Amino acid sequence: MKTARDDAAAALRIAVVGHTNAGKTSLLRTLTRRIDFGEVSEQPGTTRHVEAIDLRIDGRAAVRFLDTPGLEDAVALLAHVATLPGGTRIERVRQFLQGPEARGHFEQEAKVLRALLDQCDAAFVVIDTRAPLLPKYRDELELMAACGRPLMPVLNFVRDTATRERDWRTLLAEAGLHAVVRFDAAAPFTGAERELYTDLGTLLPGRREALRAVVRHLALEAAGRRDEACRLIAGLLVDCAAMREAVDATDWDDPARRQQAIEQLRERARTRVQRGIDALLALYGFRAGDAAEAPLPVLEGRASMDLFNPQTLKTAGLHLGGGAAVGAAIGIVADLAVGGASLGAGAALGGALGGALAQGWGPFGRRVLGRLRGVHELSVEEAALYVMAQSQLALVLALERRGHGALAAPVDVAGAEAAPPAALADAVHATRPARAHAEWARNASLRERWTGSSASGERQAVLDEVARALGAAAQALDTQAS
Amino acid sequence: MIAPAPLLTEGIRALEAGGPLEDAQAAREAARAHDGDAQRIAHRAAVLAGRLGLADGLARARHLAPWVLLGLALAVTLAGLGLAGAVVDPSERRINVMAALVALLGAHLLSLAVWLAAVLWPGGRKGGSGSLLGRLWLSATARLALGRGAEAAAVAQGALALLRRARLLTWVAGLASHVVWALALLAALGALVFALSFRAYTLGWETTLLDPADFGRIVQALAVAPGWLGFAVPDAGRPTDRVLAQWLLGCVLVYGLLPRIALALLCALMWRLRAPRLQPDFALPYYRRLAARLEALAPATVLDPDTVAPARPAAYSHASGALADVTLLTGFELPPEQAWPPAPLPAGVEALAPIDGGQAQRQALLDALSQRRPRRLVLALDAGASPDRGTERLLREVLPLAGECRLWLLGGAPMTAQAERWQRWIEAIGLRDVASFTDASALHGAPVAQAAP
Repeated sequence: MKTARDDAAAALRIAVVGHTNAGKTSLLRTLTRRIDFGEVSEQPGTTRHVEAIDLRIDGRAAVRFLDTPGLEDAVALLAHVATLPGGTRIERVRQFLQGPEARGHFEQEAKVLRALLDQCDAAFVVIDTRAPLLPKYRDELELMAACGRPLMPVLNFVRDTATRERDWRTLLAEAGLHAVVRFDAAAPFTGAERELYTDLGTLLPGRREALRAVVRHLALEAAGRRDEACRLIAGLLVDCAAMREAVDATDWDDPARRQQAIEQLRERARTRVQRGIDALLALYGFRAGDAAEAPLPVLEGRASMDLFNPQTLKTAGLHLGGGAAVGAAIGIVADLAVGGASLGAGAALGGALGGALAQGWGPFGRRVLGRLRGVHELSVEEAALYVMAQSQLALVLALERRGHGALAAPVDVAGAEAAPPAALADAVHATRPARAHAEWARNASLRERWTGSSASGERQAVLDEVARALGAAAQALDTQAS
Repeated sequence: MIAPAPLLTEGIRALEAGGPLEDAQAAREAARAHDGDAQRIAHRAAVLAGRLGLADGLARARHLAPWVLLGLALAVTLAGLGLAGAVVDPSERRINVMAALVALLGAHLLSLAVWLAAVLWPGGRKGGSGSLLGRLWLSATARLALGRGAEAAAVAQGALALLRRARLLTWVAGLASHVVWALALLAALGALVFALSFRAYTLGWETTLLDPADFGRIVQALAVAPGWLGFAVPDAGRPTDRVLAQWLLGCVLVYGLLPRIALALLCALMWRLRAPRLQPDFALPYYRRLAARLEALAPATVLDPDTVAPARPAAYSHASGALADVTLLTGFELPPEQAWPPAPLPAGVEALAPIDGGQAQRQALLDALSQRRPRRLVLALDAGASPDRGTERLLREVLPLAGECRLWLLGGAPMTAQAERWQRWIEAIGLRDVASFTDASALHGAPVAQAAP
């Protein structure tokens, strides 16, 4: 563990202090993106020891946060400290820490003060701005100030309707704390994290360069995560575009069997979408089950929303332009069934013609062969892909804006409808080559992939293109939101 | 061969491209065992690979790899010998030297050109794709050692990814190809020496389309390099069979065997130089995510442990003796906008001014209570506030001064999460007979029903 200690020595140490249940552990979870750190609960005194958690940059701890127990009885403690001998406030605090009460009634508070005095460079004072300005909070601030460390108040729950942010700001200014950061641990503002570290730099001029490095790292990380998210969605779209379900001509003529085949393909698409959602949750550091415990509007109403809802599909079809919505809005395209003898109609609908032309005669020949055998092939309609892209992008934006504190209120996200249709349509159109590669949708392609065959390079190229278009759509959403 | 740890790590990554593996145990073990991200990831991969049988398969593959290479060499040799045999007309014992040379060296020179092109233009494909023989070697080894399943493909894919990243794929595949060709050419040369030593052949060249004089010049030009090694240079006119046989052997040696041996050595050297680079790219999102997950599993560093004994319900007693028959109501740490009193009070209930929790007002309340000694004290609290030890201390201070104490949770509906939280807290700190209620009607009267869970 030698390295850990060396890291800690170099790392900037920040104690996170505040009243019990002000959201210290939630803040830390959000800042370090560790959903399972510590224990968050409505009960007071959940955190009872001082625990360290590192923010690592390139494998090295850059910031070491100290999660401290909540202050619960500052009024009595301040009165007790005032009775102790000592010329200055800090001397009296040290006197208290050596005395018997520091191991007795005030053990929890003693841990906080000890961390503030000896174990940190600065402290975040987490404040639940919904709370009225009571003497106990003033006493807490006075005790913390007595330790002589730079304090950065972090105003939590500022989005709550019951917030008393203005009063708190006045109180903090009176206490000499003028630099204040608004940071909702459950639903941080865009850029709040950056502001947090930048403002901390004004309190710690010596560490400004290190803090700038942290900000840079966070920006890089966020961009990387966004990139990866777009790639995951691109993978989903390409897989779904490549999905095919072969139906016998005789089965095709039987409406019940045809419906069954359609349902089968829809189910495959839905399963794949669920996998995509899980992957996105994991990417943003949420567990798959967290969707339930951490409400996300996208997941609540919309995931259960049927991808193949005719109305949604029709709207999506309009965004895609052209006659793409001509299909009976079932979300499924039958390549050959539509025109009967005509190959073109079905192919144009599914955008498969472009794929067929780009791919040479391989898939085209396959289709002709299928036709000779009397087999119809079902694939997922582009409008359904559009709906998928839309909802997944909305999920990404919601996840980006959501903190890791559990017990949080739902986040209000700019609706997925706001995503610019042109950019989304670009992404959907970019999946067209996949329609000529049914094998891309199969998991067995692992073996094909490792041979590094040109096909995998092609898939990669399509993925890149789709991801790029999705990135542009997300970017447009960003500018809309700000 | 590649060290097993990076290979297994990349192999597991390839396997997980199709969906994550169940790794709760492995991840926990890895997080505990190491401090660095790379070691943790490698540890996790090793545990998972052990479970999936990848590690055993890899050991088998290492053992098998040279033999597979030898088998490939054998196949190529047989093909080469067949070619060498084909150029000898067995009935007339005539050898057309030019045709023989093309048959012996043609395929070899062609594959060499392809490999050289791959080395000289590596940008064509990211990291190179390796020669056909090299690929065949890798895939056949993986197939033989690990079977046909996804595991074999994953290990092979991992190996390819590592080699590509270290820009070694071309060199490793080249090593395999050069060794195979060197063995094949050696065998062909041996067979040729044997045949030419113990049998009489007529050597010459013939052509219908070309000028024989050109052939003579080509033969002489090709003889220059072997000539440096002491092989006879045939004259342009009518060289003897012996000289031509020497020429043929010299050409196979100089244009076939020696370049292959030299290039095999070069490839081996490149391997030596770049082998340390065979490490997974830990900057990939997959590894970054994994590192973050393993980091999150690592036990937290507790700097100042909790040493408080589990909550011991301290004894307390209610006031006894002569009590004033009055219910006193006061508020504690109420928000400023809270109306006071919160509701019209029934007869027999008297409201004191609420206190803000500061030391002075607390003391004032305690003084008032010790003077009045009421039968019942109702403490109005903000239901939305978080219970804390400051509140507990006040409760413990007022309990001995009143016959009974109740908490009035303002702003909370009965049985809401907030009210329940207060009730649970009261029980947790051992003040069981302090009842809480949310409805003003419970101000007065019998012990409150809501106190019961």
